[in-house]
Amino acid sequence: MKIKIKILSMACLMLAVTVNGYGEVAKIASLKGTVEFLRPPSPEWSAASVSFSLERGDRLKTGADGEVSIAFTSGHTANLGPKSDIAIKIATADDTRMDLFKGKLRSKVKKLSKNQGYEISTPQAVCAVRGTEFEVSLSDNMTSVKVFEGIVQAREMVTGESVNINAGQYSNITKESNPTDPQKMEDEKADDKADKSESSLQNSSKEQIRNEMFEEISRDAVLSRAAEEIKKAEYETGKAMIDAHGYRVRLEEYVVRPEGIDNEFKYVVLNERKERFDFGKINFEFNKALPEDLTDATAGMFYSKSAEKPDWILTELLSVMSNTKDLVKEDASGGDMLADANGNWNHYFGSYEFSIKGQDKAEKILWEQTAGNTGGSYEDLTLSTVYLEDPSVPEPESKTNSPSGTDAFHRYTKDTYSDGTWISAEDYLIDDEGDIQTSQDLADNFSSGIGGNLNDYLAKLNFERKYESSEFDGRDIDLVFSTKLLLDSGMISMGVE
Amino acid sequence: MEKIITGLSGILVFVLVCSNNIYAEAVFTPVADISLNGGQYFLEAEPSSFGGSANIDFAPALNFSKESALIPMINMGYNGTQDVHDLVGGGTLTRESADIGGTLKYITNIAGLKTKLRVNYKKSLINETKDEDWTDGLFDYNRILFGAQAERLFAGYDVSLAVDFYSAQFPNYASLVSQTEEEFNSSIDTNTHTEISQNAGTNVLDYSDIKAGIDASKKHTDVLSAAYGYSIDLRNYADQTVVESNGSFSSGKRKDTINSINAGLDYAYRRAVIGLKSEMSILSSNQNSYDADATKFIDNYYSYIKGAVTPSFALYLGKGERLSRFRMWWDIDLTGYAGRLAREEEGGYVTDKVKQLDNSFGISYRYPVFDSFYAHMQFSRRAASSNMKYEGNYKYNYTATNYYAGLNWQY
Repeated sequence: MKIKIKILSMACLMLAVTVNGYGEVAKIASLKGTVEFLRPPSPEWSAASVSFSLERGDRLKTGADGEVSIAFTSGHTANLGPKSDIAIKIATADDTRMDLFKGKLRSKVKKLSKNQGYEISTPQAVCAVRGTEFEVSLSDNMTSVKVFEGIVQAREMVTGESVNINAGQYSNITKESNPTDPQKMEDEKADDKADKSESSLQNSSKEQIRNEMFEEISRDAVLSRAAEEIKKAEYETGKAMIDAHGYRVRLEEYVVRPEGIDNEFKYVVLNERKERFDFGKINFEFNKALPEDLTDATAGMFYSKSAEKPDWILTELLSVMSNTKDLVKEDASGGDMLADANGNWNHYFGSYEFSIKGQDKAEKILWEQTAGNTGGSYEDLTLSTVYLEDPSVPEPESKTNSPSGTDAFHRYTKDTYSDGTWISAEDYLIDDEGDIQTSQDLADNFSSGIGGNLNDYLAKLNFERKYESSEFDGRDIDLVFSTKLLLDSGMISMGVE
Repeated sequence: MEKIITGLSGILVFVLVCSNNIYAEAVFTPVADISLNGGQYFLEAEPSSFGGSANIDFAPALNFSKESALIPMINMGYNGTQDVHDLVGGGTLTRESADIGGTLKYITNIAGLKTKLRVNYKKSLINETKDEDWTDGLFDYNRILFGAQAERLFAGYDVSLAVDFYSAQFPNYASLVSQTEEEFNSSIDTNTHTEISQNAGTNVLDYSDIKAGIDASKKHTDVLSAAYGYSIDLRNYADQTVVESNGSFSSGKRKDTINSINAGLDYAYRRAVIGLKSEMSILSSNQNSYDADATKFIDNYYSYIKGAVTPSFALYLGKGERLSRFRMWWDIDLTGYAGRLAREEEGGYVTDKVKQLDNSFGISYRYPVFDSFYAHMQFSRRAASSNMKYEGNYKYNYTATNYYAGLNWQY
């Protein structure tokens, strides 16, 4: 007896499985025009016909001229309008669930018991009913629910807010908004009235247009990121910055190794500001052919702690700073290195000449320095200076001050020679924002634990020098360059070793 | 000016093509979205002054029928405050930007296939220094775009295929060396100019791009929806020559290829939506860099692989049609460069490649004041960290914060 019960139970179970979706759940009662079905996993759509058996998971769609009436085995009926697309998710005696992807689905639902359900889902809403006749239509991003008999509960997907729509009423549902309060249809049975009202059309259209607008905004944001990345790369390579006066400076730096000359290289810095251009170039000449990696030669070219005399000795240097009309020139030769008392190697030039040239004027050598007693240690080195190419001309009168206060790294120096010629140099130590650095900034950075070496701090900064002269007729030469080269070459150092 | 005329004439041609479809039943539907905000930006603890921003999007659409529509869109924006995602460095605390753009989009929806043709022109202006006026900004750019898109429901997925061609010009940016021949000649240094300018391009930032992509989205269950996408960009810099190992320019031009994939999930339960988005992109470039300061050649300078994950949470509150929304998100973004070498604080190069980690966190709240007016406020914070310790040119390690509040009106 027990065995019989078990067999009966299994038979019931198998029957339930069949009803629950592995067999026919509905039939096409009638159709007109183009109606197609898709039964996964097949990817192909096929023409549907009257009496065709529908199964759980089937998709059904209609063309512009198509309509189809579905009769569920549970007794419910549903009419799919033109240009519509549904999927049957579940269809049992107790539970019917469909997805409406587009178009219009009108359902006539038998009266349901407490545990029975009938639901239609759209991207915005879930419409659940208990014995009614209602219609769900999907137009772009708005779901419209019209109830002809009974009550439908419509729930918005995101907010979860629901509304009960009684017979003769409709409600519209868009994503992320509560369903509209049910409105009365003018004629319960004359369908489409609400749908055809101007406001309904406009609401639907507006939502679509808004989505198109947001799609454009979203695409634009992606494309704008590309332009931002390009700008970022320019900043990262140090090509755009602000000078001490708050003006935009574009900076390009080049290292050139002249073809066929293996012991020289040139450093060129170009500055562009609004309506002005300044450039600087330094030509370095060494005692021997330079290595592939120039830093091997430049790292110790002014100062070296090596036990042996560095291999590469800077022998000549020619530096020009210009605003394209006037120039300041430094021309040095006879370079060598001498060990100091501590055994460290220091560079010097045998002769060093500093000259200026105003536009359409002759070049004027302001001073020339010659090194003497070069055979001993660095401390024994002597330097003699001649001004204006005349040994009898006295030293220029020199004035210095700190225009931004003694705390700021902003120093002004002016030399006035006996013949009235004068030149001034204004030096700034600035960051990329153009802010002049102060001793407090230096102290803050020194104490902020960046390794105790102020070169770390200096390396983040830029050096700006502005020359003015009686020879320049009111013009100036204003050049910004990064301190990195100066630090690497040993031209400046504030390191606390 | 020539570039603007090219953009406008392109739009005009597009209008004429689309206007063939205009007929008497056209319905005019204007849509607008206007926002006004005020807020402040902080880099580390240093605040900028209070600033405002305004944005207007306006789309007077013409629906010719249920199957076709022409949507002109106009966008105007001004931003006097900074966002935490804006670049840091080079006077950014005084930054102002403005955009103006127009798009014309023609949409057809026939037999379930939605097609979109569009042309877009945008002018982006940015003021970063006190000597830059509007239209003088070094990084101002103009962009013109032609695009086509097709959307269709396929196997339960909303599938979209899109191809865009666009080009961007930076009218105020040209390489300095290309502008200096006269200056060098007048300074009697033609030789140096010849040496540094050989093969150097002029409009080195200008580029053109062909972008093709596929996106698919599906509502898997009542509460779970997902979106997936892939795109490829072929980007050409027609006037940017490739840097050689000795710092000179070769005759080859820079070309970048960018492959991106993304996936996102939204789980909606009652009034809450939990989202998770992820994206990975790989940029391959043939461009190198030469650091003249350090006399150092860096091979494969621009190539990178980038991954981003963004979890988010939104909660809808209130009753009626207009709900208030509370949203929070966290954006984790990691970029690893293929060849770019990291540097020590003093600027010395190390063997490690640059890695950049950005953590952004944000909270926003939107409240419906009345009808279509919303009040909103947002707070966001970004923490950037990197093994790039040298910050002589640009900041890699910092925190930035901003907040703003304002009104939004949707019509």
